[in-house]
Amino acid sequence: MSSILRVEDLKIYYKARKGIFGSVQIKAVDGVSLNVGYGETIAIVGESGSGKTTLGKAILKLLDPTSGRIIFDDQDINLIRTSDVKKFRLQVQGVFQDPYSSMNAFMSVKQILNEPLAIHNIGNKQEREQRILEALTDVNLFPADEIIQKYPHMLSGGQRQRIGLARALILRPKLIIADEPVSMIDASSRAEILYLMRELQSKFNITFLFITHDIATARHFSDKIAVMYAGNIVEYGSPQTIINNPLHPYTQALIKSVPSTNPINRLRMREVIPGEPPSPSNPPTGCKFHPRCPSFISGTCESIEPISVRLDNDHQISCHLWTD
Amino acid sequence: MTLLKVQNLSLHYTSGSNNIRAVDGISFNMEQGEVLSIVGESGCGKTSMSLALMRLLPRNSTGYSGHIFFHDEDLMKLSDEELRKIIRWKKIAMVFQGALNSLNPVMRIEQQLAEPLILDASYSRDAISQRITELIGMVHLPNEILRRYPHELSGGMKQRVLIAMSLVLNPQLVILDEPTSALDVSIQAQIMNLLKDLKNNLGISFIFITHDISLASDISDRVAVMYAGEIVEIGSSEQILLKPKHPYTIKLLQSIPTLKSNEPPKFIPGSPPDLSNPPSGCRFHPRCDMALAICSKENPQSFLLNNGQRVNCWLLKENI
Amino acid sequence: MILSLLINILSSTTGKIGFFLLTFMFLISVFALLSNPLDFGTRIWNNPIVWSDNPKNAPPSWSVLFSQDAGPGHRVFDLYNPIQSVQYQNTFETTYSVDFDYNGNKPPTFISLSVENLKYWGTPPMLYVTVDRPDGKSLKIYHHVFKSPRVNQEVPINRYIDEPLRIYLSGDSSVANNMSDFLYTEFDVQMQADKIAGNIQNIIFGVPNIYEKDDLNGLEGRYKFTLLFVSKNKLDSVDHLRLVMGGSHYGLMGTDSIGRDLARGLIFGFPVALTIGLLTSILTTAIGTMAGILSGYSGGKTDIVIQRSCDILSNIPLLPLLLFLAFILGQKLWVVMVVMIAFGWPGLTIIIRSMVLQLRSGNLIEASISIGASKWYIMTRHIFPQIAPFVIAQMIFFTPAAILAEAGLSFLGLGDPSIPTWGQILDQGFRTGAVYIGYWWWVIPPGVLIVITALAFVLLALAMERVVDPRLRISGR
Repeated sequence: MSSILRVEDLKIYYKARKGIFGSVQIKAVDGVSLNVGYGETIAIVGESGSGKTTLGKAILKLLDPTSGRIIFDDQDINLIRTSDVKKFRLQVQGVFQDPYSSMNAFMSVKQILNEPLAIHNIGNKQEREQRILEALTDVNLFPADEIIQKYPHMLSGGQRQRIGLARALILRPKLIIADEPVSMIDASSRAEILYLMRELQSKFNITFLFITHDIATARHFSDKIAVMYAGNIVEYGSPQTIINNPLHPYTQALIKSVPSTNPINRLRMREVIPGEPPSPSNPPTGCKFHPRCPSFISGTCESIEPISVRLDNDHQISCHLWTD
Repeated sequence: MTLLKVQNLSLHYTSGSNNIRAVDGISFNMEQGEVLSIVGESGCGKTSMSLALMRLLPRNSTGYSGHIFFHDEDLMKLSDEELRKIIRWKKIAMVFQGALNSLNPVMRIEQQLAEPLILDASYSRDAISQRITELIGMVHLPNEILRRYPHELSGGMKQRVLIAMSLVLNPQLVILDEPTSALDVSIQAQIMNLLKDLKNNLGISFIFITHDISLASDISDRVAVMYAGEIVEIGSSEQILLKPKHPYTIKLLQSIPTLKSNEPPKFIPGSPPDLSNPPSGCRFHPRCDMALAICSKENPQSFLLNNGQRVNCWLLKENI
Repeated sequence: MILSLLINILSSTTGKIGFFLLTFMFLISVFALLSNPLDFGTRIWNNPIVWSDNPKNAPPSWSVLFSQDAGPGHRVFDLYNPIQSVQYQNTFETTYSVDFDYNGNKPPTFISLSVENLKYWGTPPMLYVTVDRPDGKSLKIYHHVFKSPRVNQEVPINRYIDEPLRIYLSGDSSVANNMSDFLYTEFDVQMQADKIAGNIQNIIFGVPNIYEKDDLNGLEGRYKFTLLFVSKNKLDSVDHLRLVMGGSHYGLMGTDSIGRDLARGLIFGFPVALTIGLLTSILTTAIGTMAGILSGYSGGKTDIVIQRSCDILSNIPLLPLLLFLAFILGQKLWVVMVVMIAFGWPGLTIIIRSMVLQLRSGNLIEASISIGASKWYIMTRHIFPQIAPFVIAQMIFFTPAAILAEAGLSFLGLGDPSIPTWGQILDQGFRTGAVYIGYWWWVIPPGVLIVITALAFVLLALAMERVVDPRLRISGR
């Protein structure tokens, strides 16, 4: 199966200032490889500091990697000539976490949706108006001709995020990176947006990269889940595999941390991962999870970095428990 | 023993020419030593309610009325000065929403913890030092944290410091407004365990405000569900989480994606109403798929079931 | 957006006052520019010839209402047409005359005679000045022989075309001698020479005191001045004779030590102040905003370069540098303005930069990049509209600062003397000691005008404050 997106050993390091003269290296993404097939939805699940947002931004070509490659449609995106970058942007779009701050509050919905078309010189005035109304219908915002006159602050959070989705869709991209698209939306409205995204995916044959911290949401709305920790993908597989048969200690702990609505929970302590997520400027040696790992193997885990092992049916894991 | 009896509490704001009815006639009771969760989504008025309980009214507030009986004493009748001296932080304390940013960045942790003790002149230096060491241990943080500055602490550590700060004067009731919403899931679990610990060891009562009903299940004895400024359902955790009666509660529980079952989450179409112009009758009726004719005309009464569960919904009328 | 800004400003009292003041000042500026040439400064203001007929250091005319013994008003008599022209044998006599009343209180502060455009063929003509007093006595005041032609000068000899011949009769020694003779002959009074020299007007317009022969009382009545032009050639002529009876007060705002009508100078100061203020402010704001946006948006090297430039410029002492430049380049207005702009923009840059950084923390800029917008598009279309209200308010707020800075620099002597600004007028007032002598009309009005102008802008900026608070605006709410 050919893939629309291939990430090969991507590393993204920043330099941050420390003190007056010193600087420290932040390893946001530390060797990530990923293969995304056409029309798939891949969920990148991780906590803060896992590097998932940085990964998303790199694929959107919002920042440059330190090493490694990102291949979109058989083209290395970092080798694209400046004059062709605009063409790349036509095909890869983003939906962002905060639907309010990602839009210009002084622009009406019509102007917001018209902007991508104008920048890429698509269609004449009438064609653009037509496309804008269609885009609003696609994201189930009615009545379209009233909505186009409104400004972002007049809409609810869910409606705003749908405008964000419409804006990403209006250029008919092949790949959409959605960075925490529903985490600022009310819990009772989230599924609505996610179902909408799924509908649009099949209608327009779009591939989605869905970045989230909520593994439960990822389970229901993705074809594959990649679990990230401290800049690495530690486990990868289908939702069923990951949820029902998690093999990496971090994945297991993550799943146990998710609360369920059982009132008996209050009478017992939850199993927690001890300690804190590692500091990105001074990560642990070897396997970055080793200080918090219940299955820590002395002598191995703290000195050698685990390599990714492919188990059956697309289940991959980076853990010394499985590298033999 | 009933610790808190809130009757018909209301708090309105003016914004421009609008009158926003943020809290509109809330009533509930709370026993000593129990944890009550207030669950609601954005704009339902839960934060306003916590501010109303502590009388931390914003400048544009109007329409502050009702009764707050704390140990049979109506707090509404106390003067501002009395409330400040007697109640605030001494009997009722609060951990605010977004509190991670409200630590003073230029003061050490020990100074910030000690502040309420210093202001109350009856504590000696030694007593203060002893108390803050005690507190920092209660929230499972090492002593050396005391000498640090807030920016040196992680999110989880800061949250623990804030919880310690709320416990300084041994309050009987602590209100926690979204204490874990800015934290990662794994840290969230740690904080919840800490709260369970404190509840069991110190016998403190908590009001736990959150938008995440599954988080509420992790700690609460009783749950109150808020929608558009009103409490629509209240009962024990078992009743609300396993046998909800209000359509909003039912739908809310159904929109939580579950890990174990294959059942995909549902959603409630539409969005919460504008509190300056709420819908007529039951405020949830425009989004409710079980609405009756009466729902758009009259605001539902409170129906008390045999097991103590209270539901504000016309659907319950037949059952009584 | 401008319209809604305007409405907002006018809704508050401060806004109304500020707006009203500014409109008023703007109208005066238009008037000033329409009624004066653009080189007013060099051609008129700094040209002593223009003001030579004015009384010096005279208070404004309306101040006489407040003083007990007001002196006479300023009278200028322009004589173009003679009363008669008579020929006596081979001399020609052309007579000009003027008569007026004197109330006997205080004589003119000076008497001057100007002759313009003299033409003669051959022998230089002569001019006699006589006065007929109300007591019937006649005074020969002055006799002038015009200068002979230079060697090989062609006839007709044409003199005093650009610059009239000016004779201060009230300070002339020959006039003083005539006064001495007059006193002795008519009144049998002998007065000391230096006392006569200082009292020529008093003698012409008065009589010696009966008791104190050395003092003079004013003589009330009608006086007639006759100017007799005597020439050998019929065609000899003068175009214009002017007799000036200097007043003790003058004009709307009085005069300075050169006799300049301060009202004209102050009025011309309006457009100058507004231009300096607005031009400096607009340029400073434009540069500062662009640098701030570029710095905040680009980050990296561009940001560092711009920021360090700001640091360096903020730390260079402004005044010593200006002194140095004034020394090298001369005291020119454009030098002052360039220096003010060059040192003014860093302050704004820092603020704009932090506002842009705040915008970057949201997703707006990332979203715009991913749509395909170019860097410049984002800066102009997305960033600038969010900070525009703040920029406009800053511009308005900076204008009085520029005006005050220019006034201050002029006051320190670093200003451009060729253009009359309020600061210049103030400076000259202080230099000549006007403050100590008590010439209040010279130093108070320019100071007051500077303050009111600054106030007008500040009030306007304050009225805009609510609309424009960046904390409320940037978050987009």
